[in-house]
Amino acid sequence: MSTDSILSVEHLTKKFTIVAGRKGLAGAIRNLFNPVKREITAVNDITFSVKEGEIVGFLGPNGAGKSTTIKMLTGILTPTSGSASVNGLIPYQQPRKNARNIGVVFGQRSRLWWNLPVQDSFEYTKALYQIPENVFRENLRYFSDDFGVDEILTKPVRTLSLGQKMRAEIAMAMLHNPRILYLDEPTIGLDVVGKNELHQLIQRINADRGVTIVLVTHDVLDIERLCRRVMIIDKGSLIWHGEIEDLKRAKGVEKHYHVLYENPCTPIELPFLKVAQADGQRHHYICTEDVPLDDILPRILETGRVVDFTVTDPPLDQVMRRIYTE
Amino acid sequence: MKQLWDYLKVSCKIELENQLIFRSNFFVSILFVIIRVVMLLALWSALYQGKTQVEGISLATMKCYTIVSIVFELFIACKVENSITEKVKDGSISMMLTRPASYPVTLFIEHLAGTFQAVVVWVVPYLLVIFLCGFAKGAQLYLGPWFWLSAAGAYLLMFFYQFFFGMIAFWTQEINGFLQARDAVMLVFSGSMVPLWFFPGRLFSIAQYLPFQAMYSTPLSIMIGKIAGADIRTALLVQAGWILGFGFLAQFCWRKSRRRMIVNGG
Repeated sequence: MSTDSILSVEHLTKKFTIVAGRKGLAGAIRNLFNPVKREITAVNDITFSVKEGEIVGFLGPNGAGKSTTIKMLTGILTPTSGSASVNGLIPYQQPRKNARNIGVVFGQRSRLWWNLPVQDSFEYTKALYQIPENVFRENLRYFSDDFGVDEILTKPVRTLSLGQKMRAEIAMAMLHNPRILYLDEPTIGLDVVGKNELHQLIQRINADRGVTIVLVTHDVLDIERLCRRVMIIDKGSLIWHGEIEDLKRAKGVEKHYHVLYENPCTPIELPFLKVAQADGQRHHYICTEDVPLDDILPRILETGRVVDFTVTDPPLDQVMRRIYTE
Repeated sequence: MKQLWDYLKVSCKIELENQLIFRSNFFVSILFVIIRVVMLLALWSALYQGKTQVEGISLATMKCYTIVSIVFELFIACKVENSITEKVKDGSISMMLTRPASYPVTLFIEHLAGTFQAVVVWVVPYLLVIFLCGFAKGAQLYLGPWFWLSAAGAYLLMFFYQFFFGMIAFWTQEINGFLQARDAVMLVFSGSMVPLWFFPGRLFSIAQYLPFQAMYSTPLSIMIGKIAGADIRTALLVQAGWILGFGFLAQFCWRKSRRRMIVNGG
């Protein structure tokens, strides 16, 4: 464990005993008297650490164990084995102390009072966390000036759009100046514009406040926009972690080259290069191996006069699909 | 302490606002309460059939018992059990556990704020109606310290009782069927609808061994003088026993439930 990490997790494991139901009515009746119990491992021996001020992504398909991990880090669940340390505290042993250091936003659950204006929920948070008046005012001003939170303060929560609601949720989670902010599926259900606004908000508060952000999502777009480092969880295990660039290089070696020639010419032939399209001036090659551009570019250039040339990385979702199906 | 006080204040404000937000609902509910009072009073008048006393209780006192029992029901009404089971069912219990206050304390504040709301919204207009109509005329009431002590005890008992049953939801996830059956038993044995002294011998004995009479019957009987003298002390001791019992059970279940919690949905 390095000294500058604000959050570290070692061999974290969580097992649940669930009642595995039998099918049909007869099964349901038998379940009443003789339930079949089964142990499932939701999180299996996960080890990682997060540096202060980082935005780290937690990626994985539905039911992979991301949220269970976050619930242990926020002190909601107690791990079966292993340990976690958040800002020097053990969250599941000191949940109330831990709560003062963290902000939590669950995209699917609201902390706001549904029928009341947003400011009532803020006042409630202020009392609950004993936020000093000056800190409260300052934070309110910060979110009002830059993110238009003042416009929605007096509106009942049920009249807000999903994007406005998420902004209010995040602002509320930041009112007590937490060191770590957990965002669990914050962009769920948002449209492109809403997602974009939320991405900007998250980037800004990370830069301005230096708050460490743990972003849990199944949306690769969130990760691509916001995080440099990502952890991929599948079936309870941490199957990959590191920088996104490395991930693409390691797992998605497919690169696309689009070339536009001045005049029609014949496509180049290389063993590691697939020709996807070559009708006259427009050529599209797919490279399926990790080959330096230096080996390809000269051949492209000597074929004819190049008007335009683009290289595209594999999109992250394609990389993810490959990882999950492996 | 300051945290709890601030927290209580803002909770009261929010509870009250939540209640007043839908006007039509508010007025219809008050109307409903008034109809209930009028009906019950008419019922008791009919049952007394012109007799001045039944079982040593005059009609005026009986009417008073009815009115106060409805007011008292509003006063000690507790939404804690419902609040816990709903949150366990939809998984929002997780949000409650990331707060810098302990969940049992949060629940008690919720209970107090609910009472504040009920007192302001219901009890006050309600008592007003009652006094304007002069229903309580000729009744002999005791509203001394013993009554208030037993009322406070009933209030506390109601909280721990509901807290305990709410905790069961952590184990079973769904207890609605059980709770409905229990509430039906409670309606009869608490004495809030029909006073316990009208019960035949065996039913009366059963009622004595259940916690429900300590919630309603004890304070109400003290108020109308049905329990007096040394009996008051016995009744209060029984009540205290129930409070300790449920308080201990609730706390025990809460400790246990933290370890085996499962959060529904995502």
